[in-house]
Amino acid sequence: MPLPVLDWRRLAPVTLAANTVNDALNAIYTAGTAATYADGSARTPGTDCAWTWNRDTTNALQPGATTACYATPPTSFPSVTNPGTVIPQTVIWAGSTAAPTATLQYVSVTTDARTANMIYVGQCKNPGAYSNWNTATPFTTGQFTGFATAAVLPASAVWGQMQMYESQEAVVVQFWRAAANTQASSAIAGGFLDPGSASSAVAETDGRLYGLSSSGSGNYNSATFLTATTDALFYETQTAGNSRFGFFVPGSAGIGGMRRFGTFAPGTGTVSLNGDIPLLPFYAASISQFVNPRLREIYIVRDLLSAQRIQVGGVDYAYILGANWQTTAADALALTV
Amino acid sequence: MALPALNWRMLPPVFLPNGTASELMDAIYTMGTSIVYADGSARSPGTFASPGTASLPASVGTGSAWTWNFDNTTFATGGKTCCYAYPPTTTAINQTVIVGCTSSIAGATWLQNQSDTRAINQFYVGCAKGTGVYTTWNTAGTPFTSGNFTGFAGVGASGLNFAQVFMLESQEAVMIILARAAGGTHMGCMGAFVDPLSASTTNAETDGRLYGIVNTGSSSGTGASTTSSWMAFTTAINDAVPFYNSTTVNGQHFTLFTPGAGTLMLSQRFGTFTPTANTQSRNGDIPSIPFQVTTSGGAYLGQLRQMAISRDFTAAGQGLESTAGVKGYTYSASVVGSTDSLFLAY
Repeated sequence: MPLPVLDWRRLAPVTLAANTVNDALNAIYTAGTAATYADGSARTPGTDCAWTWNRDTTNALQPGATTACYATPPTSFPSVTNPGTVIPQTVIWAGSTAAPTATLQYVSVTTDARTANMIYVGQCKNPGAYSNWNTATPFTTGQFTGFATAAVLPASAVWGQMQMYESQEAVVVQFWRAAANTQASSAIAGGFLDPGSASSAVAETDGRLYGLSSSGSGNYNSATFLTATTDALFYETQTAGNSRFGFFVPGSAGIGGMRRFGTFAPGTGTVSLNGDIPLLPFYAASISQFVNPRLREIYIVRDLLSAQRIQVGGVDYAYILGANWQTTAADALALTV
Repeated sequence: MALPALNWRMLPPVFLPNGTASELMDAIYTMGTSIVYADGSARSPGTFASPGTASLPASVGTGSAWTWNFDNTTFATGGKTCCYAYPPTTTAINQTVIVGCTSSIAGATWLQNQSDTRAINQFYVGCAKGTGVYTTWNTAGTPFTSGNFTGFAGVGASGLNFAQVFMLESQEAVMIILARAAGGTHMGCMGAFVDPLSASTTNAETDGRLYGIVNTGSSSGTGASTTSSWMAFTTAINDAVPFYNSTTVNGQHFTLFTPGAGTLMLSQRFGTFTPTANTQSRNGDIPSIPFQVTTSGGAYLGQLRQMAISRDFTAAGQGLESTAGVKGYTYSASVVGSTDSLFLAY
């Protein structure tokens, strides 16, 4: 039984006030509290697809600066009883100019490092109240993925803008390099995996799988990330700082590694004979836990640029999450509205 | 809008004691006229008023059952050299699938797919659209009184080292798997097995389908069996990577009719995959992952119909069952080793 269909929305890109980890997080918070979407439609946090964001500006690591942004999903999604009560979750992006000292770090064979100025992403299921991201339990209760690096360090990348996409159960955050640079770093967190089964061996009690993926901090998301095995969103490299893709083993706090199932080399010509743009189902495969989930309303598509949109009859049909955000179309995914 | 779901059924497999051409043709005709499937369920093919005589069927089959006829006069071998079948589901395109194999090719002129060669004791598959009555398969045009023809593509090597034949049929396509005594398989599939997922007459025939054939080839002379990890390969192996066209003469071919025309589009799998026997859920559920198709130039064509990427299996023609009964069958590279497999849904 497939899970309820997610509806993806696109926030307007936010220009970073400065190329710092704190302003990167401020950009996330700005987008997360916006009253409108990029298409001009109204956005009310807590309803439809709109997550409710908060931030930490008092952390001892860097008092007075934003060092974490975290969000809870809207509660109005009609899927709350399908197939069971949806597991509460929180997604979190964090970082500070001082290296964290006590964070729980993401582990898949190797452990992502605690680094100053690094932007991290994490996901928590069954969270309690936010406590402190620089501890082993950023939320008072629940199971936490640990923090994975979410982007190349600002000093190297020179981030210019932040692009956010949100659906009822997952959030995507992408940072775009400034000026003429085309690259981006991308991360996703939430319940974006449909295992296609309600079996407790395969899925959480709500039929979902929760986790995160990031293109990592070692390099930008590969322009051929649907083929690449490093620096590739949706590919667990088991290498610290490189791309990560982890999910909670159902019913536990353990993390399993996941990878894109298949290798794809689309181009700008990956269109139908009449020019229609096909959206091709995208599956993942766990490295050792034997699960083959479908990515929820995330499709392989012809090479495009991030934030481009596919329209049908003048109405937005899908938003593009691409490796590049300008100039040169590259590997991309379509997130359907 | 997706086309109607196909229901794949498997005929009782037939062993070939001697592996001769006529024995293979007899086996296919026997399967094609069977009134029972491998799982014991009833099968209702249509009929010809006079089997062996060319005509349109007096009645067509029901469910997934095609209606088969044969030609035992062309090439005068004393046995059947050609079998052809009409589908239970008739659309405006009027397709027919056809297979041939002969121990004599004296005067052979039949139309070949992609300039392949003609050989004795070589199994060939083809598909025609817009067909009428069968005339002869030894013609440079279509074997039928009208329409377009893919040409014949050879499955495996000449010489027929085949020990067993599997046939799977659905409402709109037929797959034939030939297994060697050592276990390797060769395959030909014919019909409307690709769903363009579009009603545009640029993307699809007027009935919304795409028609064509796919085969493993024989370019090496020995006709390598299907490569065990065939979903990970492209054209590096020119015989044994089904659903990935090779332009090598006698190689593996995958050709679909251009909608509204008699020309052929060279086609291939989109993406590479490396499933294993562990590509299944922790509770043992078996995944069924859509298989997409593009032209060799990369234009999107569609999705295989109820033929999905699955975990590696040990057999071709293996039935997968749940407590609710048969769920489908496999096409894989071997009947004895665990290899890349397609799952054909029941």
